Amino acid sequence: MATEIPDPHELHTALQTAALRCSERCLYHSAKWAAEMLNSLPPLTLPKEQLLQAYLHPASSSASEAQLELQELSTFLLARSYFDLHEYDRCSFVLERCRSAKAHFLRLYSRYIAGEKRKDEDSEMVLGPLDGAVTGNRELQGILVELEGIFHDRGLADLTEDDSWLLFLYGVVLAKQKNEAQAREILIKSVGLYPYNWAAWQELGATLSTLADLNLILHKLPNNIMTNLFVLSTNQELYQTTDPIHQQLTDLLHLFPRSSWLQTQRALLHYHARDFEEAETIFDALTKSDPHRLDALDHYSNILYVMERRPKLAYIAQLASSTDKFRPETCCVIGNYYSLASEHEKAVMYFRRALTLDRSFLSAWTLMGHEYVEMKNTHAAIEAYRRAVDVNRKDYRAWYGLGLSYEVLEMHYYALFYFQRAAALRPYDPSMWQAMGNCYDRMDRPSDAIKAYKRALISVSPPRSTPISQSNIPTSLTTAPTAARGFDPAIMVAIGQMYEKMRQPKEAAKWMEACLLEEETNGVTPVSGRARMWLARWEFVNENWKRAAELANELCQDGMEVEEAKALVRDLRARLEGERG
Amino acid sequence: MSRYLTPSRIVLLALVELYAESRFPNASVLPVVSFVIKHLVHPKDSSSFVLSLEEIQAATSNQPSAVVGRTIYDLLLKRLWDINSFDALHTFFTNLQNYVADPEERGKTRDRKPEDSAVLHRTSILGCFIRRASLEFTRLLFHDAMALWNSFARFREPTLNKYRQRNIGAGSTSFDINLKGLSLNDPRVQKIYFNTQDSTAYMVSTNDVERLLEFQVDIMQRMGTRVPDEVQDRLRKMMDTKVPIPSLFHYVEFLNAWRAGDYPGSFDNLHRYFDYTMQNRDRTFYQYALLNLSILQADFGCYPESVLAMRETIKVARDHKDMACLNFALSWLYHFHKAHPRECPEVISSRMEWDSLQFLKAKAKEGGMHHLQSMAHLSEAKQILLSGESIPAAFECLLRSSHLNVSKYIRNAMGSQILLQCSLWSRLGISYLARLNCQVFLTKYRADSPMEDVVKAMCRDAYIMSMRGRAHQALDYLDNLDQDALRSLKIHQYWAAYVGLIKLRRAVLMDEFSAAELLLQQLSSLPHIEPDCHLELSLTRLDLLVRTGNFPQALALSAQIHDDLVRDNADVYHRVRVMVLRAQIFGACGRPLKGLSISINAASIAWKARLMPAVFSAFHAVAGILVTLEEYQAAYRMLDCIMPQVLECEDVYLAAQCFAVLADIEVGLAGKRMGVSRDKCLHNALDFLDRAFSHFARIQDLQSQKQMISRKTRIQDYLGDKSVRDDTVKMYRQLQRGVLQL
Repeated sequence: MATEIPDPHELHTALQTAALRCSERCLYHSAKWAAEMLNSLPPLTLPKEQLLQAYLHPASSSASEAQLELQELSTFLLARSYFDLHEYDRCSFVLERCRSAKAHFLRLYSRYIAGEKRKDEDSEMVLGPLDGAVTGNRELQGILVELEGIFHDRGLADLTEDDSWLLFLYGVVLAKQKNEAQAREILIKSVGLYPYNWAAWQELGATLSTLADLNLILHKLPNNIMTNLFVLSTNQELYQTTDPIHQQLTDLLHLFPRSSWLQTQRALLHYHARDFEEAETIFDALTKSDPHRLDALDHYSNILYVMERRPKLAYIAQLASSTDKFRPETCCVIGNYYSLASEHEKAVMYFRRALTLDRSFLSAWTLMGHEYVEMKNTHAAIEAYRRAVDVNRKDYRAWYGLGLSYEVLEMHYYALFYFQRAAALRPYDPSMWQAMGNCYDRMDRPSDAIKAYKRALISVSPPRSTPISQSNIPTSLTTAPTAARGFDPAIMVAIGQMYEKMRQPKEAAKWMEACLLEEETNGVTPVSGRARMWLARWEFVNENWKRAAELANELCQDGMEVEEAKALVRDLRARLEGERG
Repeated sequence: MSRYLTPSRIVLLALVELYAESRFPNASVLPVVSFVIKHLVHPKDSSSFVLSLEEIQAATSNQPSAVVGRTIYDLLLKRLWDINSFDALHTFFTNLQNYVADPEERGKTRDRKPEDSAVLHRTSILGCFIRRASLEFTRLLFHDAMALWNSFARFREPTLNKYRQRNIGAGSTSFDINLKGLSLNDPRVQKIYFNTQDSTAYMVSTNDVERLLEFQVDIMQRMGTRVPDEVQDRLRKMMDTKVPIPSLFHYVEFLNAWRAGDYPGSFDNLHRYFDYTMQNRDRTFYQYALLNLSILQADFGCYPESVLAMRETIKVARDHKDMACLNFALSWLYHFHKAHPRECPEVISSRMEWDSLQFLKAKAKEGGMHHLQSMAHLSEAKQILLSGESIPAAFECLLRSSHLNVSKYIRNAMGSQILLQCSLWSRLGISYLARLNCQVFLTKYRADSPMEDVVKAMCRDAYIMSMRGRAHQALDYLDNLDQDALRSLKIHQYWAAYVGLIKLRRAVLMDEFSAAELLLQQLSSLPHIEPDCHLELSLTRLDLLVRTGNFPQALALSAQIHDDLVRDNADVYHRVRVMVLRAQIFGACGRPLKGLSISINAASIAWKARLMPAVFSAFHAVAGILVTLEEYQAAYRMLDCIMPQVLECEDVYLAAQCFAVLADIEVGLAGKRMGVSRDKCLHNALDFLDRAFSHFARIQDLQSQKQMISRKTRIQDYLGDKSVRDDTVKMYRQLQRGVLQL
């Protein structure tokens, strides 16, 4: 991954050109990203004697192409102004006869956008009958045919920087048609030819669903600073929160010291590692430095939601709302606030609004699923989660939500599949494993359940650096722990119960004992009470009266399961007296 | 922007909360809770619309609370400043529900300790307030709720100093807990709290404006006045806060324009109002739109249009089974028919006979519309009077109406009833009672009655005064009328007609003929004039013609007036009076025999209807004619027996005329006798002339005064009492020069 640090002047020029080129081709978000990165660089002293290349118009590097662009400049300007006014069909029509690569790209891109716009219009209501896969982008096929024609004629070998844009579009269209492997190849090609198109990187990232995928393509990527940024953001999206990644981020921050994007990445890494305090601090600083920034505020609101900081969440919602009421991020923040205030109908309303504004807004789909679960509308929840997963397969919360919803519907086998997907994305999150164990239990597969539960126990404190595969259960847990280690007693009780089911009561007793040991850290809880009750009965069956009486009396003192314990005490007393008698 | 919630309502909610938590000692409960309720219920006066911080402070800062040493205002401030973020506001509204008793959870109230909160009943005023407020808050979208919070923070800001006295740590940003450690100039604070362009948003809610408008419409409809300037100012201020303007505003504008006599304006506004409200709350308001339109048209004199609209109203109301509207329309059409018989098409006239009134009465009774029923009784009484039928029957109707008004507490119908009663008394010739009625109404029912009735009563009062010969006083009385009331065009015209009439009569009597001509011209150009006024005007015009000696025209005019009255089936009283005057003109122009039959005819009609003043003036005319026929004895007997009642009528002019005729009779009698009895008759005549003179002097009738004196000089001349005669001649001269002091 080690790329050499680029020359600051060159980086400056490259980013400036990138911003200009992207905005010239109406890739607004890429242009914004490039410009933000550019401005986060430390300021440079500019040479006085000559104007920078980027300051003049960034023409193509090849002379013939530049000549073509010059000839078609007026048409291109017309087309661009149409595009800016959302008259996409007109834009592509005007460019019909142009031959330069730039014009070509804009023509096809505006066709693509026109198709997307029509698709959104035809989808009608969010979660309505026409929403979703039923309504597609009808322009895709035409664009694809045309692009295939171009690249078939010229071959993929001798392409120039100018063709990278068309390749990017090719990749996008392929990805839309679920032709992911090919899309990935094409996009790699595109970023290889021109690495400063952030949109291409993002599309590439969307085609990767596991860390293994990323590792596979790493060697094909260009040797450029952009690759580092890409790898970082992809790792973040794949929930990799290991130290090397933090280190990489720190290095990049040296290069782009004021980059709010990088700061956001850092905050998200902390968030994934459940280090909410740290993430909150970073986001706080971000809002302070740029109060009008809405990007990634939805994540910030998720953090505050988990921390249950209602006043602060309301404050962020106010901030966002006074910037722009009609941004999906704002709607998500407000939706989160209402969700925390237990006004689920309103929350759903705001998430729907977010989705009406942008159907591919991932967080809104997932969060809406959560709200539907709260409102006991399981079917709607499943649909919402499903859409979230369709948008982005890397969202473990959506997978987990799907699993939970199916569990509510008593469809455990199905639920299991989704929990597995979630656990694959978040191998160190105990709740996934616990849910999986629960499913196995319901399906009468206690041995699998035990494995899952044990996995849940150890993932509470994951080893940070060494990656472990899923099937690997650490040897330390083949038997019950003999000292308090800060494990979750509920899981231990569950394991005990599984052993009991497998008719291994001794093993079960060990786990129950282990659970009692945890009282050191957690204190007496209903769960430990249950374990104690179980043990008391166990001792009772084993005719170990004295210990049984001890445990039952403790139960009576703690006030847990009192009635049952009292009954047991009476029984024990009778037996003890009977023995004496 | 806001529908219901405003910062001041939040303050009221906080007060209700404190009350529900029993933080008020018993003594403070009444003043503070009534202060709260005053701002929730239907407004009684114009002070309870937009609540300011000062009013709240005034209402609470003198009331001790249950906490020793703290006033309720202190507790309220604490409560308000505890709402220290948007989220706290949200929580505040969520917790409000706890103060309202849930009927389903009545059994589960064990966990709620009775001593710490008095739970409000769901249907109590405060309970409804809380429920409405929480519902409205739930309805708010986020940015609306945010705007409410911002304006609340702004509203509360002036109390910061007071709050700081008890809470030292409070700073300039302590209104939001999230801003701790930030300065007011921080971009985030600026963005959230100072970004909004319009700081007055959410200070006034649509509900406030609606309440003010409803109150205003109520006043305008009840009193028939225009919008006072002060209220108009306030309305404009409220509209400036960008609240959505309720359509009722156009109705207020309509009423205002109507009263101001602005026909296009009122027409336009009426249409605008109904365009916005035609289909409201699943009801059609088409019939009401038509009804208003019809009344408007009639008021501006477009009678055919008005009748068409009203017929449409009746049809639509019948289709919609809207009995209230239907009955009102029928009753209106009945009155319209009475007022403008010529404009009414045949179809309607034929139906609008006696039985339609019976129908109206029955319907009103059936529908429990007491106001309408009372009005129908009055109409019946009026009809009886107009057609000159039995007086007891009229009294019965009046009593029925009065009973309804009193027992059903219909205060605004009192005016019409008392005014009718007043005119009944004056027709019976008991002007003292008539005047008393006017005064009772003016002192006791003025506040609740339509301005129109009040002005009518005052005009009537003034007219009676002028009949008694106190025209100056009457004019002063009318000049002192509340100028605000006269801003309504119709009322102003009515008032102007009476003022003009009184001035006109005075001018005619004082021989100021050119002034009288001018006044006559002005008065006859007034567009809408009451029938009563109209008749007086015609009579005065006749009088003027007679006085200027233009008999042919006077005769022609009287004939025309009489024919008009007969054609319109008009009031019998009016007809009789015209007949009497006509007889007098005949007498004056030397054709007494022609006058005799007319006046006897008039007397018999008047007697049948018990129109005593008319009977007396007819007698006077007959007596005058008898004098010219030299039937002195008969004439004397006729007048002698009615004289006490004539004096009781308190109509100075009539009494003066009677005395003058009596004097003539005595002179005539003297001519037939000899010696002492002749002298005695002549002295009697002198006596009567003196009395006639003093009466004429009271109404300043110059011409008659001169006549009396000249007759006196002739008698004195005959009697040979030179010195007395010279005195009288001197008096005549003085009179002619206008310097006679009595």
